[in-house]
Amino acid sequence: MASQDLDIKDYYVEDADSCTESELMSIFPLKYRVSKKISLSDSSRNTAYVKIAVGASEESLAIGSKNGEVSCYDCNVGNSLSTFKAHEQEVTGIRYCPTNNKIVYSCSVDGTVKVRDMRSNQFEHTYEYKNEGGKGMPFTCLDLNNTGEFLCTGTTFINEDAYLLFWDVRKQQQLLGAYADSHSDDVTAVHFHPYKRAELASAAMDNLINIFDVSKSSESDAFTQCINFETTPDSIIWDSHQDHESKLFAINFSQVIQYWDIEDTEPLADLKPKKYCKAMRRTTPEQCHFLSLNYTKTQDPILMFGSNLGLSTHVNACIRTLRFDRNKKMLFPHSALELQGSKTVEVFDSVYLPNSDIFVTLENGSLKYWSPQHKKRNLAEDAVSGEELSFNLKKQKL
Amino acid sequence: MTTKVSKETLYECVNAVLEGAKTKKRNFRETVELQVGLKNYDPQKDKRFSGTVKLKHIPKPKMQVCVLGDQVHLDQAKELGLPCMSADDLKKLNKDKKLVKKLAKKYNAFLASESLIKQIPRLLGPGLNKAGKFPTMVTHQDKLTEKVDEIKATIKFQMKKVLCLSVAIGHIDHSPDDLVQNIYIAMNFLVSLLKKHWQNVKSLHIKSTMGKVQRLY
Repeated sequence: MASQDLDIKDYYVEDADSCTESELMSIFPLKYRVSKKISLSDSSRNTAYVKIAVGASEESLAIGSKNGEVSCYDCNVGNSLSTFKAHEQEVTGIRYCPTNNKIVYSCSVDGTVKVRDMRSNQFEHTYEYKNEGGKGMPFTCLDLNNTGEFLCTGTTFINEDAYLLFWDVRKQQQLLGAYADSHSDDVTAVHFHPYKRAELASAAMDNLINIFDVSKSSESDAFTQCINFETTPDSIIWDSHQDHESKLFAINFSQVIQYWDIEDTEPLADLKPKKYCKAMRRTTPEQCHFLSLNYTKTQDPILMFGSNLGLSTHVNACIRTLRFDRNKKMLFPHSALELQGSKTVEVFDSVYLPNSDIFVTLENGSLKYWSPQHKKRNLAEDAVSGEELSFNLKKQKL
Repeated sequence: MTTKVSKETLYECVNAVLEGAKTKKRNFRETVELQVGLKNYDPQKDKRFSGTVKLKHIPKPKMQVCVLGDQVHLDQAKELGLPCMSADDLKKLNKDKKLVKKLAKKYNAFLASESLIKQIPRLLGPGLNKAGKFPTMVTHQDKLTEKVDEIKATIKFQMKKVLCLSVAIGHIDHSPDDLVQNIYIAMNFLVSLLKKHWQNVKSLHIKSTMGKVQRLY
């Protein structure tokens, strides 16, 4: 190391495109444009909504705020269905019941899980777990399994324990059990397998990803796999494809995305910011970050990324999506979202509606619907363009 | 690109810390730690994080690392005089919570062979997780000593629910150059973890276990 290099510096540099606009047009053939913008109600102006979930039938979507409010919107018309104060504190997780599109589950650090039935517009049930001191456990995340039978929540680290709690949703809403040994710090994410009824993945700030078979009677027997992730996994998402049922995506705090087979000891793909920054055609990996992972009906997973978002001195923000090729284990350009003079863009969360090919982003004070501005293309064409692009990329390198 | 802490300041502080430790000798080897104060960050609301980084020089050489190995690694470990256990040894613990806990307590960290690491959950249950000591993988291509040193040289930044954090970055028998290098690596890594980078850093201090605090930033 040259001795001059030892000055500790601030390396902050703003991100920009790495190629011209016309090149971008050809590289990102798909375009999405805002087709609908819903301003979130006045009362919620100061309550930043940060979580979004969509029901399986794409009828409605639900968002949760930092102040504990939950709002439901009709997907098609875009009007507000209901807004209610579900929690005293920030909503940390929100999910639709997988088998009933009218029921929304939300959890919060205030220590409750609320179940809202949108038909009666009332809370159906409240789940709580109190420790010996009579204090509720702050919940950091929740998920329901594919059959809608089990509810699992993760808690923060309290009195030397971090819990995974399980409830039976159907039968008397009773507590089935708690896993207290598998994590030694705040649980950051829980995710049930998309179609294996009893398989659960959990992630925590102790930098581990654990896989459980929750049908087993004890925690010790249920604990089947563990991945030492070495940094904090922020979210974990199972691959929804039938042929890749033992695989999952894990995204860590420093924005590295890894694709794992839980049976393996090494990740199948390690997608560092440098890699996706390049695929996004941007210049500064430090500014690029992951927004969401979405499954289309037929294609590979589509990952949404942003850069320069949420800056007060906003210029040159961008949101782009990349397609993950499972075979090549690489990311290819997919689409660009046309921001067109929006002043500041801050995306908290987003979902994709596969039936209508629409992205919905939850931004500061609004919900935006992004509709395709292109004709539907078939898979084969996409694959070809992907290959060409990777070829071009290599050429650029040379 | 602006300089936040100059090389001169770094050396000045490091020398002051080492000088302080020399003038008032203690009965043990003092550790040098880096303390970071944060700002523009709400530990209640913003996402907390942790991350590990490997330093160039080992800050805590006394760490005990146990090898959970297959035959190849067991042989290597025995040759090197490292504590080690085989899959059969682990089976004998019979997932007994108390025994696993005892094992976890005995060592600072664990290494496990590639073939063994996937069996750890089934062999030991979640006991090592509970202690925050799930093993790191070691392959036959890795050199066991290097891997052990790597673990010893790895430090973990962990954001708690308060606006400060500290990590061990060396000890007083290190040369100033070594300490400066370690601080440099640690700081650049920490800043990369922070969402607003240097805008999140309020202050930087270094001190030895019993010594006075020196302000870097």
